Amino acid sequence: MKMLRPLYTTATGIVASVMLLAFIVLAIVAPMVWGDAAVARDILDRNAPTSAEHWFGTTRLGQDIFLRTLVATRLSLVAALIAAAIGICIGLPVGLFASALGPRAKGFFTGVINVMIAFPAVLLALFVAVIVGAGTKAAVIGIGIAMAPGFARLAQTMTASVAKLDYVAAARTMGIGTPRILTRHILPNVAEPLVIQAATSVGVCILGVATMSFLGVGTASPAYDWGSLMITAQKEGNFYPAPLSVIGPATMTALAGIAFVMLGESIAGTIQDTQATGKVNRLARQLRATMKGIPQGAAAAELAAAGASPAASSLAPVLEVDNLKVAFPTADGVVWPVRGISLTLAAGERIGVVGESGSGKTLSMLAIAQLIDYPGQVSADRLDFSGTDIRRLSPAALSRFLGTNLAMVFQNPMSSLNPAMRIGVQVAESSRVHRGLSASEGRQLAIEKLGEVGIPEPELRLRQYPFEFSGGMQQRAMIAMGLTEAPKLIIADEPTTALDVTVQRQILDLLERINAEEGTAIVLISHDIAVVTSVCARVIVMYGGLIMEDLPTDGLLTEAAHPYTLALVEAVPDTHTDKTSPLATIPGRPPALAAMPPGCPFAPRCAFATPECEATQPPLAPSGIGHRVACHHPQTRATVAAAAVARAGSREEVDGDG
Amino acid sequence: MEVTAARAWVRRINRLIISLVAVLTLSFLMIQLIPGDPVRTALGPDAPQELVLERTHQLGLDRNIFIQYINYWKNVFTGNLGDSIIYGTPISSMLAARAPNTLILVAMSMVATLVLALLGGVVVGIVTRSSRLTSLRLFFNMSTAWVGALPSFLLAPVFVYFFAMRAGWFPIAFASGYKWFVLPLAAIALGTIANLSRIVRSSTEKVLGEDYILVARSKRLPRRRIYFRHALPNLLTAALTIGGLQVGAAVTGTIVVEQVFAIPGLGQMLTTAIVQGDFPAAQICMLIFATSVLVVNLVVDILLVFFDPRAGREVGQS
Amino acid sequence: MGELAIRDLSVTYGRGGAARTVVKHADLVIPQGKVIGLVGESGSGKSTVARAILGLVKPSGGVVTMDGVNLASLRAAERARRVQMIFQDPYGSLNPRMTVGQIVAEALSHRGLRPAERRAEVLRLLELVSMSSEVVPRLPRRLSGGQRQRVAIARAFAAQPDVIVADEITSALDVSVQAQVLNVLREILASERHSMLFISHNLAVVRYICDHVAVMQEGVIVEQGDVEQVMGSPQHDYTRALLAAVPRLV
Repeated sequence: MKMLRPLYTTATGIVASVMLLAFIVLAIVAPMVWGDAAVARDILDRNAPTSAEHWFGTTRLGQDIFLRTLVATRLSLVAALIAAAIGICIGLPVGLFASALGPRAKGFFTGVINVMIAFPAVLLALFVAVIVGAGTKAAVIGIGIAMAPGFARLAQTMTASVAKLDYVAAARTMGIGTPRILTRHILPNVAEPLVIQAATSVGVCILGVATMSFLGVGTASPAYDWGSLMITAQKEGNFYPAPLSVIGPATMTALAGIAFVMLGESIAGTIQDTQATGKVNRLARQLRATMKGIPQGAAAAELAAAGASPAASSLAPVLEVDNLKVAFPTADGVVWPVRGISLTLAAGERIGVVGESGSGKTLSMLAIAQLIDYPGQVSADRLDFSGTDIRRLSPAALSRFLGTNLAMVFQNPMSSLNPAMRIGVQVAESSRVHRGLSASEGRQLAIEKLGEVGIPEPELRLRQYPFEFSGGMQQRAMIAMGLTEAPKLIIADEPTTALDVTVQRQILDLLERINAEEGTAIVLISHDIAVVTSVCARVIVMYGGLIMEDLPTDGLLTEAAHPYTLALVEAVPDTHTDKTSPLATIPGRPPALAAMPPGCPFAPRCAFATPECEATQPPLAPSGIGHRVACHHPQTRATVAAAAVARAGSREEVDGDG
Repeated sequence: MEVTAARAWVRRINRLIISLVAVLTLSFLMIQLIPGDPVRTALGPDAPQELVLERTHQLGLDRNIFIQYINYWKNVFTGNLGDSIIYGTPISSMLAARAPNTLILVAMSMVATLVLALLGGVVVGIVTRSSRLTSLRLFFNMSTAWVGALPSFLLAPVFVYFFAMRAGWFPIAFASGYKWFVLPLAAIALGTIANLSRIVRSSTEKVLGEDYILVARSKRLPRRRIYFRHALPNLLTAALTIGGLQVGAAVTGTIVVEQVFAIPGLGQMLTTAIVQGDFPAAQICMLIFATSVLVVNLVVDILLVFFDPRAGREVGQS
Repeated sequence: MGELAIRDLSVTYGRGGAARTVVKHADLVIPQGKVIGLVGESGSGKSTVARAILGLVKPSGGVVTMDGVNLASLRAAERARRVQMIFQDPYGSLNPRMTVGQIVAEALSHRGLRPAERRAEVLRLLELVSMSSEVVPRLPRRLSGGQRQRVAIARAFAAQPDVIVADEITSALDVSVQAQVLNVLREILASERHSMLFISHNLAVVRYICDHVAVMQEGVIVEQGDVEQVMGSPQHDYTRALLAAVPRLV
């Protein structure tokens, strides 16, 4: 069973299994070996203190409490197991039954279950004890019933979540019968959480049953379990001469409970592997030491002495980046999602960054914005924003400088806006923090900016929360938030991917308008080359953490030279694509970060790759005006098409007209 | 908007009232479900038949069940809770002596749990965010898991042994003054603090990984503002939901701890009543415990509406 | 083999005050051997149409018929031979605990094949979607998104249904992978001569794959016809707005 693997491979699992095994052996063996000795009375040695002979002291009748604790293992464990079984046998069917109910009945049922779960198990068990009378039976039945709501809810939520999954719907559309759907598609996928909850609940039952006995409403003389040993010792005054008479059985109970809870957690895999995370930290420290880069704040003193806060120069390029790298330590070693990119962005320019998932486009922009979080590390030979080397700024100066000059817009507007803050507060926040605006000034600014991005009735909308906005309106609000400080640059990372086409058009138009009216430079990141080219004057194509090609949008169809760029252009159908021939495809898949090829990252998928390509990464070299390409063997659309025909011909016989 | 929020409160109070009616009814039915003659069981086989009949009549158990139910409601609301079947003393005077001790313990342990667990969980969550200080995170998770798994019936005697018997800082059992209060409170709240702070830490880490925190960072807001203005309200939702569930553990802990420290409280009264078959007393204790659980949950719910703007509307819509 | 017809289909979710009608009196015919596109934005009701055809939601009005037979009157196994579906999310639509071979073979279970024939048919279907026999013993998590989606296509074709419904099957994929999946779909449609309802928000993709197209807005089919005609000279404002919004390469 793969599910049980953690029991002998993880530290927690091994500890839990060893403890469990010990308890099970004790439960079987102890009553056979010490059963008689544990009830043997010694009138001369009553209420004895802790000694070498009686570790936990003796009872009022002179019975050895340590031996009794060992012998009580069996009753304590068996009672808990029965209680857990009762909980499962009541809870699961009830939960399954409830998941078949109509929506209204289900809502009522869920409400009842929620209230019952809020009630402490012991209180429910005491309720049962009132009815059936004190005793082991009351404790077991009571705790068992108290466990049932938890299982009912688990069964209900699990079947609900699995039944919603597409593969169950797929099985149903294939005409698979309900029994087979249940056994083949649902049960195997819900077994794990069930086993985990069952294991954990045995632990809870051990404590619950012991508590009942300890309160005097569970097991009572002449039978004894851990709970009744504790209360008897306390009542009979053994605690003061021999504190272990109470603490001993209590410890046994706690250990047994913990063993079962750990068992569940190790199966669930909730406890992380120490070694892996330790390694990440070690690697992060090494990286920080080795990656060259000017330590932050090195020149802060100079700036402070000159009495100048850095000002954005309107003449300098907005962005000058040279050899930017991003490294992330992982449990399997360091990976480099961005491996050295260089680019310059003129004031007011619009560039698009295109690449598939994993190309490094997002991380390189986060690195430029100084937003890579630990354990990631960034280095660059040059990182100038508006003529200022932002790595030399003190943290405070950097915050103010980037906070007012750079705005970011992210992919998912719903998750990018703080759900617990009103829109207006979020829009005005930057200006209130960086420029010290008053609340009413902030309000005015928010109204103005929300109006600018085309949100109707901004004075009403600013009092609303993000969930009261549609996706398109949320993204507009995000853009308004970025505009409050009249930034030099907006970096928009897939700003329209989560939106519908018509809304996408509106957002793209808005970005273009801002660029035209305010002269704000724009970096638009997208996986969709058509989105980028419809807005940007220049396109940067990224692959495997490197820039493959950098060219004017106008030249994309005529001058593109990198086989990857050409393949991207051909792979996307547009409204004029020839329907009679297949789309161009790129065989294989992008390289894994951990296994980056030594040469060109695209070489393994490239039709024109030579041994040279596999050995060395071509530099990003100029190739015409405003055009850079990183390829040993630049191509054109014609040569790519010819190669595709040739390839198709060699694979299978094609009739002459191809 | 304020109207919908108000409607959400009304709905929650409605739900509380329905739950209270259910609890009241169940506590009434509890006695009807006892097999045999409960009065005979309570007084023992040797009690004279006249006494049994007299008590049965006193308790109104010889009447029609519907009349009993209506009288039960009347009695609960007028505070006329009847007499203990065993002692014959009025239950209300027994409660007056015991309820304050218990309710203070439960309330104080809830307050301590919420305050300390939020504080500790958030602070550790911040310093261990995005795999920083992973060894601290591991230590914190492990230690809170272990401490959280320690039952009050273990913690209480251990505390007594070290801090009362050996060090002599606190009384070993219930006494006058306030010092007796410390050890029981610690024994109840230590576990709930550990459990809740572990959850608060992980939800802090989760919230700090959300997109809107990245956005807040991209706005270059001061750290303190990011943590307290942007992260805290969002993690309170999870913390309060789980925190409300800790009231169960607090009630259990209180009942146990009363036993260890010989505190005259509701827990002790309840368990004694169960053992002795003093069901009118047991009934009322049950009712008080159940009500306090429901009320704490209502308070948590109302706080949730306060902190989470969505909570108010969702209820209004569904 | 035959013609799937949707007549006056309405679907309502919820009841009472919370009721929302997401499909309103939709009429749509998928003739034998044709590929019909259904385009619209999120919330337009296009996925609900798919689920209604498959019997995964219950229509509040109207019928879905196959050669005049009401699909709702058929037993599950019978319906499975008539219609099949390919889902949007290739990560959710394959059972994580079944191998590729088992997933495809399960869809063959109604065809009464002998074990050896069944194995051969699984290989043939995988070949059809350009996958080698190596993947047969693999679990879905070891496949890329594009590979998973191709397995889902093979599974849908395995039941040899009259009509296949494909719901946004490339929207979760990277562009280079989307091209692979579209090519595979095109080839298999050409060779097996199936009818298909191809649902997408991407007009360019719909134009590339489909013969006819229907445009849906807020639960209503506002325009339908030959795909070149609709895209060339759209009649409805919404169709025009959709077309104008498509980002163009250069």
